[in-house]
Amino acid sequence: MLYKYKDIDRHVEIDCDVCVVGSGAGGAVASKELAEAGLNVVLVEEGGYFTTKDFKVDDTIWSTSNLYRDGGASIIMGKPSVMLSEGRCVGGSTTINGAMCWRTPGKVFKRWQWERGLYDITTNNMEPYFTKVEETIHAKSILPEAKNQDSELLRLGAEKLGYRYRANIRSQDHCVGANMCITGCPTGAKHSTLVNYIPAFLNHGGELFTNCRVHRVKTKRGKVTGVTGWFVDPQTKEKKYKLTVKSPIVIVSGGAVQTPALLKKSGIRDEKSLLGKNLLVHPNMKVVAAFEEAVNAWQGVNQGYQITEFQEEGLLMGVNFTSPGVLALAMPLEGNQMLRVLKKEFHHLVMGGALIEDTGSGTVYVGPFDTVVPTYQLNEHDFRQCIRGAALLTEVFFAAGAKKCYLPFTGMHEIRSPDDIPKIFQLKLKPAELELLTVHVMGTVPMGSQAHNSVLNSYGAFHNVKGLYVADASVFPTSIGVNPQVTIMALATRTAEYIANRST
Amino acid sequence: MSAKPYQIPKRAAQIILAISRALVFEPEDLNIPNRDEALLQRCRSILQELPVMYRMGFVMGIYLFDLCAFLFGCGFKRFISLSYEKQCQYLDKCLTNKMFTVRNIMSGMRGLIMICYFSMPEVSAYIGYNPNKHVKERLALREKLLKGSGRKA
Repeated sequence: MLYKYKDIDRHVEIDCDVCVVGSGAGGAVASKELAEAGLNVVLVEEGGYFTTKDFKVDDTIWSTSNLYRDGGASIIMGKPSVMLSEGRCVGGSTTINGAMCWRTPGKVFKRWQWERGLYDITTNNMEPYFTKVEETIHAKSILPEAKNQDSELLRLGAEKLGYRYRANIRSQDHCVGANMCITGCPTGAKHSTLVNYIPAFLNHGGELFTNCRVHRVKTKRGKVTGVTGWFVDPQTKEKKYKLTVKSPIVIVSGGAVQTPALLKKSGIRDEKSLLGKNLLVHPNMKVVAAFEEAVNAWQGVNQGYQITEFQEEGLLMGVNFTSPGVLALAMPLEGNQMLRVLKKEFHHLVMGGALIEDTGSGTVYVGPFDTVVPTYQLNEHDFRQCIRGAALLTEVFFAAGAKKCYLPFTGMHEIRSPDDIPKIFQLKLKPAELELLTVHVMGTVPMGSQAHNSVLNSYGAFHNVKGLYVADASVFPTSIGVNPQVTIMALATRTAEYIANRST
Repeated sequence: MSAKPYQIPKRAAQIILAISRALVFEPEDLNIPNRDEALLQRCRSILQELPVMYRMGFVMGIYLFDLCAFLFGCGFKRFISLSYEKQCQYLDKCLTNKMFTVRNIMSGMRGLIMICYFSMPEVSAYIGYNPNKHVKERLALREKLLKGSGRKA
């Protein structure tokens, strides 16, 4: 049963077997698996419920306001500050992501085993969970009809330079490349949890409450007892009615910023005060290239290929079309230049991104008036990687025939020849001068075998609070270096199986 | 009394509009009906989604930006009272300021205004981006492919 904000006209009190907070890659998967196993599950989502028909293709602001946290204007404080985009709607970030499907690299699992004692999370052990998730979300290669020119240029550049690349696997069914993934897929082809796990959860008798922000996870004598939250008017932001859920099991899946914040606000502490620390962000550098011929990057699939040549070194590169509003943010131009350049070059532009597998970290703090303050400090190694990522992307674009590249660097906004790439390294840049963004936050409630180096066990259960689980990217002990959706979903499936086995 | 949707304070709205004009010079052949209202409505939509503290911080930042023009070398005039050329110069100074905090605040303001401005349908049309037509074509193509595989869109 789905309860939208307009369906609620009084305070709500409800009992259930499991309460799940957040309906993204972790929460939706855990909810569906547990409902399918016969448990009585209540799923609470802070954002609204929008379907494929609701998405507005010509109004980016409608999308950012309704589908993104903070209207798309979230910031992780630091030097430099990092722009954060995460979903706040039914489906969470899966509703607004690029649908990329990567299994967790073996090197990451090995690191988790060696450093955190997670010996039961191996490539082999995770195989059935990955398979199940990939079948459910239709993780498939893209159709020939969906290919587009910006991805082809990335492939061409990589081929000319002899760099390895991969044709991406994406969660989609007959995607023909509307290229509107980040504002909500208007064709229904993208398989976010909104179109697979959530309907299946509702079909299995699950109850979904939307527009409800959970304020507290309730515990008593070391056991979880439920959650409380408020239904918030989507127009006025007024807290209207209270939700009280009594449940012996709570799974928090609010993402790596909101999950530790909720737990901290609820007075939950771990042995070594690790909760909220170790915020990892996969910093992302943007480079915009202009080509002589029209590219029309909006015609075709988002991120058809990724360059994997430098994956072992912690660098992954791809191209991603964004609407003019978002593209304007990535262009280092002002005044009369911006409109003039966009009018002349918009059809010729390709926006590339380099994802950095970060080694630095940040912390999530809780401020007054329900404010959550994430902070992050880019370390020297990751700073160098950012510069290198931008330089490599520039090289790839020039190899593919770009006539110039716009760089996000103070003192070097434009580069017209590959011969000038070494100049990027002579700029004497400081970390604070970079413009970074992230769409992957991880690591703030890490798993591990021991309470001294982790908050959760390998099934996402708290070491010291009975019945309390986490199922989102917070559980990753380290950065994973690839798009995290499938890893989150597979781990959530495993957590749900563990809970179901113990409950029946 | 029931709550009302968030409204940008009048003075802050004036400053936002002045910044937007300095950030994006509009050519004569771009006609946006009710440009100011449309831009402010978009800014309001985003600001409303921010936590109260951040929203207040943003508005305070706008006031501070306006006041700093008065205090720091613009002939004791606030930003909104400066000539267009002076506004552009002052804005440029702030965006490239040596102090990280100033740059950071300015970059937030710039980001909000740029995304709101460049998301207006008239601006998209001006630069030749027509997502509606493109999506219609893609929907038709998907329907055709699904029919070919014996399924409904």
